[in-house]
Amino acid sequence: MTKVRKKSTALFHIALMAACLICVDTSAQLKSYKNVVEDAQNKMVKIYGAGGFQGLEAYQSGFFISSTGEILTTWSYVLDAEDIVVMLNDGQKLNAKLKGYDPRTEVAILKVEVLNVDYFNLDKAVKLRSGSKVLALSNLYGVATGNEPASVQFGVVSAKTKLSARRGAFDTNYQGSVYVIDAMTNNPGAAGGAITDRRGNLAAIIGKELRSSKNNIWLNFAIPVSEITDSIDAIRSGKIIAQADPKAKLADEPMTVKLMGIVLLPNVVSNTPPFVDRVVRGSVADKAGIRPDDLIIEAAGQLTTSRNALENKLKTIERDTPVKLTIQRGRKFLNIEIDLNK
Amino acid sequence: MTQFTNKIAAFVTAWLLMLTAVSVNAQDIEQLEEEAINAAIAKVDKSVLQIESIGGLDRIGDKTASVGPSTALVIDADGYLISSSYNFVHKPTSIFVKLADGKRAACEIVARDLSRNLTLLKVDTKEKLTVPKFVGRDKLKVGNWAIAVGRTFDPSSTNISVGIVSATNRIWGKAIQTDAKISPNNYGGALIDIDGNVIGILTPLSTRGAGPTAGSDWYDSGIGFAVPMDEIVKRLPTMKKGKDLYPGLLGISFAGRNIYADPAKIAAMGGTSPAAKAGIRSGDTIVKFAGKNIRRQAELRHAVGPYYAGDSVAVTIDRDGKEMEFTVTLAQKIDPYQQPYLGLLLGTKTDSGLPIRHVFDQSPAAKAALKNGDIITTFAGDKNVEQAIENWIIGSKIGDEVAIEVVRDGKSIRSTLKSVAVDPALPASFAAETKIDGKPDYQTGIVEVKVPEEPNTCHAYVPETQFRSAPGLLVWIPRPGEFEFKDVVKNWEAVCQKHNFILLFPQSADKQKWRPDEADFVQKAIDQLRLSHKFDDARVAIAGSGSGGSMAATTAFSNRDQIRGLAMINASLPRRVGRIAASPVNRLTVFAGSFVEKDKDKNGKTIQTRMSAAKIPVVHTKIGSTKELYETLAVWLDCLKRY
Repeated sequence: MTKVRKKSTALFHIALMAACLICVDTSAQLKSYKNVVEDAQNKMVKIYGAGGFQGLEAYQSGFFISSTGEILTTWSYVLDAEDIVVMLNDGQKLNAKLKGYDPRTEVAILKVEVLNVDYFNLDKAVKLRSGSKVLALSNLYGVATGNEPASVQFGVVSAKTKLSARRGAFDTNYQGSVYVIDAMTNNPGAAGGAITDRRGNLAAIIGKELRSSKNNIWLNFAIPVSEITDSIDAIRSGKIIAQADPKAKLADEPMTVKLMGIVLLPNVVSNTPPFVDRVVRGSVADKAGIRPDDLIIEAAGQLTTSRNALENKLKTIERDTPVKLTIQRGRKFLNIEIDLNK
Repeated sequence: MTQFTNKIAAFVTAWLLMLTAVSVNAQDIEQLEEEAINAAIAKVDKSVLQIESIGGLDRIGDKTASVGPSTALVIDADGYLISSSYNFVHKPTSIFVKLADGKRAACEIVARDLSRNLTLLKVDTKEKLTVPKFVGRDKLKVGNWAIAVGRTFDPSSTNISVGIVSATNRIWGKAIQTDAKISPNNYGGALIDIDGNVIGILTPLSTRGAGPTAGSDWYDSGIGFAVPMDEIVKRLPTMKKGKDLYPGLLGISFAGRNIYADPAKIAAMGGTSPAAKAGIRSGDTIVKFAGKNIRRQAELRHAVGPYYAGDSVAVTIDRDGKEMEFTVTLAQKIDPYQQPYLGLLLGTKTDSGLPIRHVFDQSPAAKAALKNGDIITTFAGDKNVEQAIENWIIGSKIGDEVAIEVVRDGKSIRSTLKSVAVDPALPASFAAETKIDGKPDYQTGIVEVKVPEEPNTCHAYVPETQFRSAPGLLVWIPRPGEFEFKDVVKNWEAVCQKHNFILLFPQSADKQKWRPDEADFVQKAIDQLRLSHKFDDARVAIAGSGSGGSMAATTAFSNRDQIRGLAMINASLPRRVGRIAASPVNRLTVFAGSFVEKDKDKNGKTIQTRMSAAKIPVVHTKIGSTKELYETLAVWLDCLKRY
C-alpha cells in the first residue's frame, strides 16, 4: 500500500517536472506578448537634444544594437547638439556621443558608456511581409518620462514599397524600400523607434514624420534593417560618409521638348497636363510619330502628371540618351522612343 | 521495474504530447491568422486595381488635391470599375488603370453615386476582368474580421490594413463602419472579410456634410466606411446607362425638433413634394417605411438613407388612428418652400368670423376688392378660418388659388384670390388693433426676468394697455455694455403701448462682447417670460443694431421654431449662422435697416441678397432717425402675421 502510494507520488513528481520543463521550453519558443514587449522595451532609449522651439520637438527614440552601448537612431536636428542625453529604460541618464551618421539613409549611431545592456542583434534581424503582425516601440510625443518604458503599438505591415516610387513624393533623402504600417507609428519623437515582429525580433527602424505629396496624407513607415546595414557598418568602421545628393542628378546637357520638336499646351496652371499642341515638321518627334493632341503620360518610366513633371524629368536626362515616351492618343497607348542621334 | 519505467515513460510522453499540442495550437493561431489574412487578400488581388490620373486641379478649396495613384474595384466583368468619388475630385484630364498584366487602359467616368460618394468607371479593354465575390450586409456581425485592401503604393502589390467590422448601419444606413485604417491609400479599394469576400467599397462619408471630400478628415482615425457591395451591384444597370444616383427625398417637415424622441409626424410639405403627390397629408404620422417599423424621426432617416431618387417605396402612415399604405416615389430635388401670400392683415376672431384689419396695396386681396373691416366667414370652404389659413399657407405654393367668403354690411361676398410671393413692404398706415378695458392678469411695467444659472441681467417692459389680441414680443439685443433699463424704457414705452407688444431686453454677460453661445441665454429668457406672461407666438421678433444685430441673427437662426421676425440695424450677418432656408412651419421675416441711403448700406444689401436667395421675405429700408426706428420696428412687428 505504501509502496503503491510512493509509486504514484513519484509518478506525479516526474510528470510535474516534465510538464514544467516543457512549459519553460515552449515559452522560450513562443513568448507571450507581455514578455516580448518587456524584453524589447528594455532595449529602447529616449534621446534628448536640440530643438524645443517652432514646433520642433527636442526628443526622439533609439535602441541599443550592442551590449557596449551603441544606439541606433534617426539622423535629425535633435542630434545636432553639444549635449545629447540618453535615458535608458530603467531611468538611468547618460551623456551620449555621436559616433557617425549617414545622410542617405538618415540613420545615426550614438555611444554611451555602459556595459552589458540588452540589445537588438542586427545579425538576427527579420524580414517582414505584407500582413505580418508587428510591434512598434518608441517614445512618441515624449509621453514616457524617467523610467517609464517606451510606448508600444500594434499593427500589421500594410505594404512593402519604395518610399520614392515617384520622385518628389516625399521630402526625404532616403529613397529605398520601406514597410508601411497600418498603425499610427510616425509621430513627433517616434523617429528612431523599433519595429519588431510578434516574437520581438528587430525588423525595422521607424522613420520621420512624412506627408505624402501623392495624396497629401501622413505616412506611417519604417526602414527595414537590411536597407541600413551598409550604413551601420560604415559608421561603425569610422568611415565618414559624404553627403549624398538627395535629388536626382541634373543632366549636364538636358533633354528638352523643344529639341524633340514638340510644342506643349501652354502652362496655364501648375497641373497643366502635358498635351502636345504642335509638332515641328521634320523633327525627331514628327518622324517618331508624335501627333498634336497626344498626351504624354510617361517619360523614361516616370508618370508625367503635369507639364512641369515632364519638364523636370527631362532635366535629369542627357540629350544624347534615347528617351522612351508613353503616349495616350484617344483610348490607345503608344510607346515611342525619341533618339536625337537618329 | 522496467515495466514500471515504461509506464512512467508512456505517461510522461502523453503529458508531453498534450502540452506540446496546446502550445503548438497557441503558436498556430497567430500563424493561421496571418495566413488566413493573406489568403483572403489573394482572393481579391486581381480585382483591386491601381488607377492613375493626369492633369486636373492642384488645389481643392484650401487643401492640396490628391493627385497620386488611387484604387478602384472591379464590379463587372465587362470592364466596369467602382471607386470613391474622392479620387476624382480634382477633375483629371485623363484616367487610366493598370490591368493585371501590367498594361494600361483608358478609363471614362460613367456615372456617380452622389449619396454614397462613389464613381463608376468604364475601362477600354477586351480583357475579362475578375469580379470579386461579395458578402451581403445581413451576413455581417460586428467584430468580424475586416481587411481594407488598396493599391496605391505599388502597382504590383496591394496595401492592407487589418481591423474589424465596427458597425453595419452607419451614415443613415448607407455604410458599414470599420476600425481598419481607411485613407486616400485605400479609398476606392475593398473592405473584405476573412474569406476574401468583398464587404464594401471604401470611401469617405460624413453625416455632417456632403460632397466627395466630406469625411476625409477622419482618415486613418479608426473610423472608416465602406458602402455595401451587394447594394451597389443592384444599382449597376442604372449607373451603366450613365445615370447619376442621388439621395432619395420625401419632401416633408416634421413636427418636433428632437429626431431621436419625436415621432415622424408630418407638420408640413410642399404641394410638389413626393409624399404629397402620393396622397400623404400634413398631420399624418409615418409608421412604416419599406417594411421597417418607424417609431421616431431618426429611424425614418436610417430607413430612407440607402434609397435613391426615383425609387418607389411603400410608406405606411397613421391618419387619425387608421393605418394607410402609399407608394412614394422619392425625388432628387425638393422645390424650396416659398410662402404664398394674399395681402391680408387679420384681426382677432369674433363670433361672426375673422375680421380683416388691413388689406395691403396691390395685393391679391386688394385686387379682389376686399376691404378693411370685412369679416372672413369661410376660407377654402372651411369655417374654422384661422386654422384653415395656416394649413393652406403650409401646403400651398405661389399661384395657387383659394376661395374666400366675407361678410360686409350684412352681405355675404365670395371671391377667389390667386396667391403671389410675399411683399414685405410696410404699410403707410393701417388700423390699430382694438383696445379693451381692464388690466392684464400679469405683472406690468418694468419686470426683471431672472434666468436660472445665467450671469446675464435681463428685463422686460410690459405695457398696461389691453388689446383684443395678445401682445407681441420684441427682443431687443443691445450692444455689449451696461444699460440702465429705466432709461431704455423711455424710448420704447409709447410704441409698446400703441402697437401692443412687450419689450424684452437681455444684456451680455461680458461688457465687451456677445458670445455666440449666449443665444441660448436669450432663448431661455424668452422661455422664462412665457412662464409668467402671455404673448402671441406668431409675433415674436428679435432685433438689434451693430453687434447687437449680429447677435440677434445668431439667436434667430439657432431658434427658428420660436422666432418669426429678425430685424438688423446697421448690422452684418455673422459668419456662422447655420442653414438659411425658408420653412413652411418655422416661417421667418427679415428686416434690414440703416440710417444711410439703401444703396450705400452694404450690410443691408448682403442681407437682402442672402435672404432672397433662400426665399425668406426680407425688407430693406432707410431709417430717418432713432425715433422713427422705434415706430418702424413696431409697425413691422405688428404686421408679422400677414397672410
